[in-house]
Formats: sequence, C-alpha cells, structure tokens
Amino acid sequence: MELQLSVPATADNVPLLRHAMAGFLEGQSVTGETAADVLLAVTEACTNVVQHAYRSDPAAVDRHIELAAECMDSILEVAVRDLGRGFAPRVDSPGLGLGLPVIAALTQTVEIRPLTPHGTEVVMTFAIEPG
Amino acid sequence: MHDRGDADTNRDPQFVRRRVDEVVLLLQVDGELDIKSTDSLRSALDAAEREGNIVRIDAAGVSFVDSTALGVLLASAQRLSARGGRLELINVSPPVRRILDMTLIARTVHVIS
Repeated sequence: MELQLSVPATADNVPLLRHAMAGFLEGQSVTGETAADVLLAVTEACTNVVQHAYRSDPAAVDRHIELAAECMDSILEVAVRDLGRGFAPRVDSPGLGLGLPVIAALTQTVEIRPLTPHGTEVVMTFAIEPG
Repeated sequence: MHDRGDADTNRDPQFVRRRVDEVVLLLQVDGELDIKSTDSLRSALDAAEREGNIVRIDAAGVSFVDSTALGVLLASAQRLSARGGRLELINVSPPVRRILDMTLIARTVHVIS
C-alpha cells in the first residue's frame, strides 16, 4: 500500500500532510511511539520545505510538497520532496535549526538527495511492525 | 586592615524577610503546535508574559509539538528568565515529553511531571 500526495508548500498544509500520514499509518496498524516518531519526522521535513526550499527561487511557480510513503515488510519508507533550488543556509531562519537533527534521531536511516532538474528529496526509513 | 573574614565569622546571623509576589499566569493550550499554529502560540505567550512573571502552560490538551513550536516556547522561556520569571509546562503527554527530552529544551523550560 502506498501514499502519494502533492500540496502547495504552505504552513497550513503541514498538518494536512501529517494527518494524511496518520491515516496511512492507521491503515498499516502502525501505532504508538513508532507512529508518533513518523509523524514528527514527516512534520519536520515538510516544515523545512515551507521554510527553506523555495526561498532562493521566489519566481518558482510549482511550489509544492510531495509526500510519498510505502510499507515494505518491516520497513516504512517515507519521502518528502520539493521542486526548489536546494537548501541554502539561512541566517534569519525562524526555527531552532533542529529539524534535521530531530529527523536523524527519529529515523532508522535518512538520506537527502538532489532531484533532476531541481528539487530535493528527504528519504526516511523507519522500522515497523505492521499488523 | 580590617579582617573581614573574622568579622563575618563573629557576626550574629541576620534574617531578612522580604515578600516576593510571583504572578502565575496559567495558559491552557489545546491542539497541535506546529508551523501552522506558531503565530497564535507566540501571541498567546506574549500576552501571558505581560500578565505574569511565571507562565504555566497546561499542556494536557496538546497532542503534538514540533521544533518550530519549541522555538517559540524557548524564546518565551528566555524572556521570562531574563526578568526573573520562568516558563513551566504541566500535564505533558508522553509524545510531547519525548521531543522535549530529545531536544534538551527541558533545561530551559521547567517541565513539571
């Protein structure tokens, strides 16, 4: 079973994506602390997109967050993608800079990959025990 | 030269009573705290800080907190601390406690179990 969503990269849509992810996890019988970890990591990744991904490309038309998730046996793989120009250091960042460290602490693995022709993909995996 | 050490040792103990009025503002928060609710959380805390030097957040109804919201809580805690107050969190659920512990924010925000 897979989850595929694409929504405009706005603050209002971050909880929407989290709730969609929660529904997907419920369908996979992933609950408790594991589900809480996934939802927090997804939120942090989506928030990064809203805060950083499109700042260096103000003319970008397709300002979206893509969320994809798939369960494979005991592994849940979640990808959060943007179509921006990559993450640039931001001295006026509104956050604490904790997003990626929190993601790293919550996931089994995390990879940040550039997309062609532009964009960034954060791929996170979690160990799960599906019902 | 006056030996201050001896003078202090020989002095009778002094007891000074001073009344300290701490105004505690209880802020009940319900819902999810993330990038969408950051502005409303900041406004609520700003208002609470104006009314009390101790702001106590009842987080029983908080189901989710992310690092964006933690940033707002931390900033409030630092402002209160600078003027001798503090930010307290009570009735914290286990998932919220988890991110507080993970980010060591409990060193700045008083989390009361």
